[in-house]
Amino acid sequence: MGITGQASALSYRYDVADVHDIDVYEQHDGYEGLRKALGMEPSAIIEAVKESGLRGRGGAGFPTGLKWSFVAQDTGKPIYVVCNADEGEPGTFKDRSLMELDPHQLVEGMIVAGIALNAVAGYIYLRGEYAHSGRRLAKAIRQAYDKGYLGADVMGSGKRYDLTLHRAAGAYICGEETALLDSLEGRRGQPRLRPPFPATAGLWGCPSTVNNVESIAAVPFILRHGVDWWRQWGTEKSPGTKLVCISGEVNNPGNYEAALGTPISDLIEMAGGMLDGRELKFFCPGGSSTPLLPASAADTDYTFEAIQEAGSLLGTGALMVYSDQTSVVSVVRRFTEFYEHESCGKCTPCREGAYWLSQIYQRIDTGNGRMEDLDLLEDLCDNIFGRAFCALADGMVSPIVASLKYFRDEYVEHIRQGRSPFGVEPRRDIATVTFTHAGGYEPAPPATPRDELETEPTSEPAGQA
Amino acid sequence: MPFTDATRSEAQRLIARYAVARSALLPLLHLVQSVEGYVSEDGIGFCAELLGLTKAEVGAVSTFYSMYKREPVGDYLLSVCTNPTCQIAGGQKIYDSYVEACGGGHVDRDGAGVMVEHAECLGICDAAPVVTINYENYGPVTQDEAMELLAKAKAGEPPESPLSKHTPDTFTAVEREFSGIDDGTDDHLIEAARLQATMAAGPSYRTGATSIPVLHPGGDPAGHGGAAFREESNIGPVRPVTGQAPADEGGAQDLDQPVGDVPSEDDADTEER
Repeated sequence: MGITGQASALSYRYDVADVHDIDVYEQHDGYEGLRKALGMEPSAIIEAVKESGLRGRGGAGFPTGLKWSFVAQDTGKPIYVVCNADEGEPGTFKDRSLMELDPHQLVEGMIVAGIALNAVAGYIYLRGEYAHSGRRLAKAIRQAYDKGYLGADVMGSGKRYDLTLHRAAGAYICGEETALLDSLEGRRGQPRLRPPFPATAGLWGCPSTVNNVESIAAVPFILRHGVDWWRQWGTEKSPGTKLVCISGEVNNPGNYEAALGTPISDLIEMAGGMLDGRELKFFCPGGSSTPLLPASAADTDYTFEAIQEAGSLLGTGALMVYSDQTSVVSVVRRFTEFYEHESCGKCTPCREGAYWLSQIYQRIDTGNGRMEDLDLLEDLCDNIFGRAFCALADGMVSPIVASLKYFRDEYVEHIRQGRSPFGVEPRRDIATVTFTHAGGYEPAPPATPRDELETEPTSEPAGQA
Repeated sequence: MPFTDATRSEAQRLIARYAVARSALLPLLHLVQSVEGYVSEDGIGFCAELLGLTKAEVGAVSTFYSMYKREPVGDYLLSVCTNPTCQIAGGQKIYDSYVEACGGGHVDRDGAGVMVEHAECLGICDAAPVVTINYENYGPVTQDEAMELLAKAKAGEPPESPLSKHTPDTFTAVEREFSGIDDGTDDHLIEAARLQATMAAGPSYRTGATSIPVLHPGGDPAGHGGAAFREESNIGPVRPVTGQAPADEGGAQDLDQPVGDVPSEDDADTEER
């Protein structure tokens, strides 16, 4: 394994004042990666990205160079580069920082990607709510045009390349690459059937690639410093650095750039350790769509392969940390409600399943749960996972299945008592930024087993289950 | 409010930035909100007319996305993140108090006019709990600070965001920004779109391995949105209607004829419904 711990690659300009301005950016090696790329054969650029082992930073971890090599070069149609800046995964805020603090980094990456793929144009599909990112990117693109990095003659190379900032309008599903393309074409953002893959028929039926902000931003660095430089960090299968978004019950939540391979417990330490010395209970290693893991997995190395082995996914690199005082039932309930809200409605397992799961969680969380609800949840999840049109539904059931696996006892207690067990906070109404307790806890009322009392008729989806 | 000629010409510039007209729909809907304060019935008709779509098609899109509002917002939209990271820090309580302060609803027409909403993860979890005013972030906020933000927004004087150092503009001004009309790169993008749309094998209207023809009244099979796009972009005659899907690999060849010399009668045919 290479170097681990905190690193400074993609974020190394974050602290430079006004680096969002092109003049300052140029003084800090700005557009050097592009200059390098223009001196290379496009195929050599793709080869370099392949050798670097850069894996997609948007969640799936697919090798970026390989993805680029699939883009059909011989159709006679224009080729498009699309940047997925629709950051919406709960817990993820790395792209926002990158675009706000160092937007030219992304602009440069988009041009380099365009050169590598012989593309005619690039589109940055920006999450609509990211007003500040949009402002910074719009200015960066305008400045890049003015300085000749974009337009009819990119840096005197004779190549034309244009870049459009396309602000979206708020839909999590548009982070799915084919839904993004549909949205970019002016439709409801619903995923497409594959094949054809975007590499052959993407935007407007033309060969396209859709890459995450962080993946694209990494490419100029790799070209400038070389593959070995990138591979000094991380492991054979997960080289390089990662922007990790650490949030939840830690002392200093924020963006941290770390070498892949850094143990998760070290990442938590990097963020100042657990808030108020609380005890780690569970964490989502890569956003809400990745199966949550119990504290015992905290020594796992932060790599694609190690986290997979531990039973979860690295996802977008959003490490959400929760303590022993937080109710896993409440957290997973809110995740489930998120997916219920964001399900695009295209396929039945996801559209209907999200609705049912959410209702069951509301029932449990508000004290009306029944013991058989746990089996029902598992059964529903089993019927949804892998049977939906896209990965949103898989992400929806992941935290449920994982929480039932690791914290079934807590679910049982929650149902028995009709509320969170003693010492565990439902945290739906605690307003304080310091996360301090809003008073001590009353011991729970004498437990009345709900499962014995349950008489109320319900409309559970028994037929489906 | 009716759409003025100035808005119409801005809309046409937005459309001309894309090789396929319909791609401008999301920016156009932002432009509609910048004029109307929400996506009005008129606004839907405006987009439909410009893009050669039906109102149902535009409505289907506008109701899919959470940022397109179906009733007037007022000057300020306050969004409270209630996803777990913000929730455990007090987001839910803030939202509940906001609703209470708005008389149990989510709009308050007094003063500047505000709308409150609970939002899914706003992507700024390091500042939980987060409130945004017209998409400027405030966080972490205490319950009291959050209530003060609401009061100030109602009074028409929202404070500067400590994170972006921007003071929120009014909702319509922000929506104008989101439409991208003032981004200042129009000329380049319009020229680029023209070049792409006139390529021998250019972009198609619809992607996917379907042979279902996708034709639109008032539009043309390449989705160039009828006359408006052509006039604005100098694109010249576009490919005639053939009744075939431009999408799948085989079908695309039939349509991808050179477009320069298409007789004008065909062009006229395109206009007929």
